[in-house]
Amino acid sequence: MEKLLGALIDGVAFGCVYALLAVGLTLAYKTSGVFNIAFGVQAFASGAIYYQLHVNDGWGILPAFIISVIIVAPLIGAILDRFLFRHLRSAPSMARLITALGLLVAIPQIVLLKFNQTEATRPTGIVPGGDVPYHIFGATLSRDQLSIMVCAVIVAVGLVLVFRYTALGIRMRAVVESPRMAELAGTDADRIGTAAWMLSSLVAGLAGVLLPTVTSQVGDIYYTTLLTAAIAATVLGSLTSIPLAFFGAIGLGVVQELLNRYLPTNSVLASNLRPSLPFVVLFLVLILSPRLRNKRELTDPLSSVDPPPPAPAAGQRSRELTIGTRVAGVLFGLGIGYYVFFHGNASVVGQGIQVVIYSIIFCSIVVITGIAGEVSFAQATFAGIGGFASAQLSSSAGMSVIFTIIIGGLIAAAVGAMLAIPALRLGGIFLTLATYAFALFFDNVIVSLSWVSGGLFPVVAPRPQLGSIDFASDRSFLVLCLVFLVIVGVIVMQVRSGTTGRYLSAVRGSEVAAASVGISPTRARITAFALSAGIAGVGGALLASYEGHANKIDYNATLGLFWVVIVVTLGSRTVEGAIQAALGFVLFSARVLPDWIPWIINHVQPFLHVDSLPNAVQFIFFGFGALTYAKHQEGILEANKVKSLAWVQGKIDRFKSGGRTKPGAAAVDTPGAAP
Amino acid sequence: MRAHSNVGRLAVVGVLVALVAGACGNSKSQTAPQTVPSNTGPVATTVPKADLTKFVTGRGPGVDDTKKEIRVAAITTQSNPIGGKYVQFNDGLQAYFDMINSQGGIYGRKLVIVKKRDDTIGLQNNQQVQSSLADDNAFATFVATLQFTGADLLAKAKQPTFIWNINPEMATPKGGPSHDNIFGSLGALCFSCSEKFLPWLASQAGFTKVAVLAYSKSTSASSGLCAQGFKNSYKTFAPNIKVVFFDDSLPFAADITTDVTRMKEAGVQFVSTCMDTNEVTKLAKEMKKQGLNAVQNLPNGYDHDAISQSGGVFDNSYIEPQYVPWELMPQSPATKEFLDWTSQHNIKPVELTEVGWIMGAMFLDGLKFAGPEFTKQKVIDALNTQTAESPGGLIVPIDWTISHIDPTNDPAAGGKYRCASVLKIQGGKFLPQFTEPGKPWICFSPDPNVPLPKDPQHLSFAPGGQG
Repeated sequence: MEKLLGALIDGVAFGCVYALLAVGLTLAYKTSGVFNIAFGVQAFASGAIYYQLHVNDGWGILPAFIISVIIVAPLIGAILDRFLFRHLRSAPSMARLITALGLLVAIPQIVLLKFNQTEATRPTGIVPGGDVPYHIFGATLSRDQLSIMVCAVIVAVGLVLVFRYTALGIRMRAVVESPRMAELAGTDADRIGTAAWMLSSLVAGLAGVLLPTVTSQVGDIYYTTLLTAAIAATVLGSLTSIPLAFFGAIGLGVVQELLNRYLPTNSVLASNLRPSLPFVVLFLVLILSPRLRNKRELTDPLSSVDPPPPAPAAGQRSRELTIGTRVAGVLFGLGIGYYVFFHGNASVVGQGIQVVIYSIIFCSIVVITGIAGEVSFAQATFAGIGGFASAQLSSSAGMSVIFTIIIGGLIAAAVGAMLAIPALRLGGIFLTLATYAFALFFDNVIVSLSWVSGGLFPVVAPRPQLGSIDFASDRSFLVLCLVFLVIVGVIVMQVRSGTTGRYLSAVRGSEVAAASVGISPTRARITAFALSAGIAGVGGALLASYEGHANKIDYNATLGLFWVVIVVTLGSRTVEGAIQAALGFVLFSARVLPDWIPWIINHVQPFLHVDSLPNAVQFIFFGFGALTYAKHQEGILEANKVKSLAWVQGKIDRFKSGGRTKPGAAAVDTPGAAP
Repeated sequence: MRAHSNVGRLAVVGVLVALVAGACGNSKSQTAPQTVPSNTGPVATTVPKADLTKFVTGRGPGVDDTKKEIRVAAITTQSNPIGGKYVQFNDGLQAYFDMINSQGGIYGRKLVIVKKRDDTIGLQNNQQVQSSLADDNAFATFVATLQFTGADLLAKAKQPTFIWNINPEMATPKGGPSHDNIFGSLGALCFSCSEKFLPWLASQAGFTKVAVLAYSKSTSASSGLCAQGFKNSYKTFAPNIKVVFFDDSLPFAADITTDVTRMKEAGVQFVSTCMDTNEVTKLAKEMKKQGLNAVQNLPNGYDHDAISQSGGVFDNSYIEPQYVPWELMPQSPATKEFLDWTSQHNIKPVELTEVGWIMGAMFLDGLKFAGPEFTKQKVIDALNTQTAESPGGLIVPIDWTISHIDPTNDPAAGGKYRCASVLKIQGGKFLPQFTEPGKPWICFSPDPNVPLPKDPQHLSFAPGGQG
């Protein structure tokens, strides 16, 4: 009995770690409508500052705490609100999620420019003598653990009271529900919004200085890992209930501790269930909870009067311009192709192959996000399914590689459809979280199976052979990849302009309205998921074949988040956008940072010699790029393309009219332009 | 996260949100079979001194006869959003090259790192390797990354490659190209092999109840194999020592409270882990909190800063550095040379710095063995004829004639040297243990039929047996 009691108390103690994050995440959503996936890295920023001041610089606990938690954390919140989220109040929840995703990618890299987390291994809490143990009913809790428990309870109770009994709490909720209506009622939405962000950032800061005593290091990975687990508790509270999130987190901690206590440690069940419990819980809650059935997201009811996003540039330009741009595009492509095939060295050809393969994978994001309007965090997983399946079938079963690449895509498509079916009743953010839970489950359980990933050594993935044509050489393999890209590109364009695309557009616009005219949202979404997963699977299989192995690192769920960031930043609505994203993804780390930028720097000034820029720059660049998503949901490049086309079209019209400006000559609308 | 090392089994750990490196200790083998002359350095190919300055043109790609340079490229994880950064490897390599260049270089040429590429989380390893091969015009490539997916490309290109041994890619993979061009700072890695060192250490310290902890398979495939290897080692070589607690299901950033409670209930005296430094720190703190006075074996613990600042939680723990420990007196000439040079040039000496230094030295050995008319292939071939390669005696000699074979299924590939050097932590400092003056290595027979000796051989591999 004492053992059980001890395990329960230990579980509550660790549950409070989750609780602090789950409550913070809920608070952020409740007060801003943002599923702030960057909450963990915000906490990391405060944790790093606290560590720097208190441990490295020798400041006292109180001044370090005041600076890092009371001043800096709310300041970060105020900045995020002022420059980002204030402008997103009426934006779709996906836009807000993508923005938070950009922060998740960029913030740690900015902090790490000045903070050495590898040496931050001596964290201390906010109470002196944090290691002092107390024996409570068979459990041993340190003063640091007790401080986390006390803080978690104070935060949860305090926030419940604020939301129930104060005008500020009600106004915060009102501003999230509808900032325009709140303003009509005399509420200063901007000020309330800022206060809400400062409050949630304060909680992030508090979590930031408390949690390292549990993880023993101030590292962004620890915050993100714990936050990922805490998402399950947040979803238990439907993202809005602080008490449910709190108790859900405690429950999760207790269940984990009981499993630790009573499962045989070397059993298959333990080795699979322990690392995956939070994700299994998350997925099950999302799928089974009646509270989440068609739950309405926090969006402004007045936002429906906002204009729809602009059509792609390709759909707006005149006939001459269309012909002109296509001819220019073909010539440019041929020029690049000629250079790569006939003059490029092995590195250039290799990068060409990678660009083509990632273009295929990113086309899957075009389907699911650009056309269907959903955000999937499992695209890397689908690519992995295709990669592992193709490698195993070709190397173990001896099947034709070309055939296995297609089978890999079909298996990924089947898994995508199976994932879509139970997840369909969810919408928006909950659907995204379901894909994330699936991706993490895949990473934590499925990939570890040796018949999937090969175990210690990755599965060999040979190059294909088609009759007498051997694709062993990189140049011939590039041709094959290009063929796949053309096929995938045509499919995506056909889907977008065909019935399925129109159905998806209709469902994206209004599910109810679409259903009223006989469109089945279920069918449309399953099609989108299956197609998207299948495309990713084919890309993943090609990637494995190119590298010679199905490397699990290539399909990591976190990497999938970065893929989403880079595609939506550059353009998620067109095949062209996917290719641009692939160019950015591959060339930034392969050319731009190690070669091109240093070359420019070294040639424009004589004082500083730069050998290579760190890849961290890439994360900061694209992380910040994602912040523009809310303004340009068509992607930065697409938005600028629209502007450029308008300019060119104006010139053409001007030329045609002999220099006279025709009223309304600019045939291309600029997004956001006044009607 | 700090660098991971360990005398022998080193693992790389993939984690959900990212990747963490973990390491597993125990070791690579240590053999000092009867055939090994004790107290002498390994016999290496000798090169006439006059030849070392002989300048012969036309040495092929990566050797610039105009600038008189031998060019190499380095690919290391410099920016990693999710885990370790191994940039100190470059510092050590650069320091070694600087020292050699200050002495006139080799064959009338200087050693130059022409490009230091950043390989974030190993994700771009393949890509960076390919770019380096095509664009850097390098004679050799040095790699210290979390993942080494570009190993096959380097193998196909027959590029002399020198790596920090945390990855098993030094061995030729099943169905893949021969990896006989890839050289590491340790011999062939066997994660699951039974070894004698750990049972010997436990028995010397009088422990009879031990625990083994490792990450779950999903967190690290090698961590679990490493734990299984520990378990088998005790079972095979010290049946009187019982593994009373075994957990190979720990998730990353796990709560280990209950593990420690159960270890305490089982009366654990000695804990072996296959986890990264941060996790063992957490474990040490939790053991202290719960009053479990067990001793840890820390395969990755040779980190002077971390240990001196750990507040005594690691006191009495054992460490096995992968090279001759700095604390061993008298210091070997090679150790002294490294510490003096880094000190004079304001380079912070850490484990990875010395690994970079050692790999630079191994490359130089390869050049020396190949002779003035060296080529890439000659360097590879020359090194692969060495049966006891140990630059300056800093590491346990590696038999390159067999170390490109995966020893998991071929234990002989582990080589004949099964040695470790042991330190104990006291008051934040490292104290050499079980050593004899000038003989840093405690060595065992690789023959599994030879029982655990009470008094293993003590050896030095430095030239002339100088420590």
